Amino acid sequence: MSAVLELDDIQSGVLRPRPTPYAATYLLVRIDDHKAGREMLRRVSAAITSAANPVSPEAEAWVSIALTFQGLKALGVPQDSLDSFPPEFQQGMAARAQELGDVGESSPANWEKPLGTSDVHVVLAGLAPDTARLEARVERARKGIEGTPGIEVIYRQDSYVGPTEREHFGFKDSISHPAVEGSGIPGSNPKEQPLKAGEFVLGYPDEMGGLALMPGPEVLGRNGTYVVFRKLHQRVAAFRQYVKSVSSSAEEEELHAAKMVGRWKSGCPLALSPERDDPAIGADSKRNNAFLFHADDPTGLKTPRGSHIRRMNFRDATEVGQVRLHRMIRRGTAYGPPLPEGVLEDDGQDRGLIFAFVGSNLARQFEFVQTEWLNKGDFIGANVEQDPLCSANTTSGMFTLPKIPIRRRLQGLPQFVVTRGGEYCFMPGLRALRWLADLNS
Amino acid sequence: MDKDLGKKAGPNSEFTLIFNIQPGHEKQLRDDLVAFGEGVKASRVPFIIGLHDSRLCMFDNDTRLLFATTFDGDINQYIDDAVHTLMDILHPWFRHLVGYPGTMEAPQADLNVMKKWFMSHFCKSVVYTRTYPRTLQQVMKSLAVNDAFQQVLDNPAATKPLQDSALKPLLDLASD
Repeated sequence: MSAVLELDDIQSGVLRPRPTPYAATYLLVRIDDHKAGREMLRRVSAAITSAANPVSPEAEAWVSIALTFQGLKALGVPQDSLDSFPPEFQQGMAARAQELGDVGESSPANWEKPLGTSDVHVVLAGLAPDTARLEARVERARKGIEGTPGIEVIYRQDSYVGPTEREHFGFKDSISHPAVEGSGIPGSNPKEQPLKAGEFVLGYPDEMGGLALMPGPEVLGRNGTYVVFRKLHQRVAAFRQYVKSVSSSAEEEELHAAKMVGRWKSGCPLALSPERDDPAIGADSKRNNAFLFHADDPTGLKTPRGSHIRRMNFRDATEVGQVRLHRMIRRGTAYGPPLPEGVLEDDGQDRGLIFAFVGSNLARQFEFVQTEWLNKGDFIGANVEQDPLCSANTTSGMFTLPKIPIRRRLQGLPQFVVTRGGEYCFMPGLRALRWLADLNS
Repeated sequence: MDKDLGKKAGPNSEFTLIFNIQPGHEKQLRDDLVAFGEGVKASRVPFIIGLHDSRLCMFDNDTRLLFATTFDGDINQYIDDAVHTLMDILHPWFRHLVGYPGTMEAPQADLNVMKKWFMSHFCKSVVYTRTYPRTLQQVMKSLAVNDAFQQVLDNPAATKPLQDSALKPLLDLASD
């Protein structure tokens, strides 16, 4: 029995599939005055669309709004309500750096300001099939902000998904998407049972069989969710140089890069085409995520157990943990210009990925996967290995590729991805936005 | 996630729980524990992936039960997974314990309720040591590699190839 989701009260950004290609913008806002903050919410809410009617043409462009814990405080949310939010959300991402592995170059001391500071109160995300439609959408939201004393836009980050849907390392991204019971949106893997709605939206039963912990009062928590926003700088030249240095041919370069990711650059999974890329599979959304690991590839001969996609979601493989408790809606958009094909020297341009996570349990979903499956290898029995692509590669810099007759081990992996900042946000439902706008402290 | 349920040693962690046994259920519990143990032995696979061992001991005149294990990963992180995995498996003897939220027939469907009960019985060890802090998979692989190595050593034809300098790390382990 699946719950009926109140889609007309859930923000578009939570469940709706993205158009391709699309342009996106993140605006970060500081609230210096309770009243002004609420007034801004009232105006901006008018531009927020719900997740209902996901196939309508106007559903292709939308604005979402989310608040940090500091933002809820700045709006004057009552203390008992603030206290009902989970501790990791109250602390915010910068305070969780040690747990998340955001240390060394990725430590908050090195983050781009104002990311990770207590000035980030509101995150507005706009999205549309092209920049013209995006600007029109963002403009509507911006009108609700600019010119209001006590409110200031303190940061803007543009990002995009191009027609090939590839991120800067060259791989088709954002392929895997869980099915959410009651959402009407199919998942990308027909072999995965839909997940309980409560895993992604607050107020519904989750995979633990009860209701996920919801902040109070109910009008604020219900139909909301948590969003993680992260700006991740990618060292594309270093990645290309490394792959070249451990390979003896162009074909082997492609293979090693694919082994680290678990997919070929076209998005075709190694699980379905282990020897060579098959762009037809990569381009086919009905096939490119329709696979499991357990029966076909228990030891990772096709898709290494330590590869990025297998760490993020080991599907039905027998590893430590219950994968359904740690599923995430993840979305990535690129920022910065691509490094031209074949270039091996860094051109000094900042480029990377804006990572977004959506889920109802920051600790059990985002933080767990980051700490246990991305930054460690205990769960696959390889306790010194980390995610070859997205971790800091500080424990061993090693990555094992199972292979007959003798496994190959890549050594000396450097850090390819550096955290530039980010924040934990709460994305309220539409009724909750109105409740916040009407607060009377 | 700032829980403090069990101690860690390398990739392993321990968890130790102490329950009160429902009066009148002592014999049933003992029988159900024995049946559970037989089932675990027969299946030859751990009832949680990454479980190294488990110990169940009735004590204090059969009024209390100790449940102690070592497993791969940090129990503080994997507590939800443990509850999710264990409740159906352990129900046959859990049902004889005081405060069990399920019925004699089935566990409670809301695992958050089960988790609360489960967590309230954790008893954190003062000392936890591991002579070999390695994952279960590493231990099993090491044993399999040694079995294979011994087979190689039993074959007189292996003496010559083992002298090859590339195999020196293996030759260094071949004398006893």
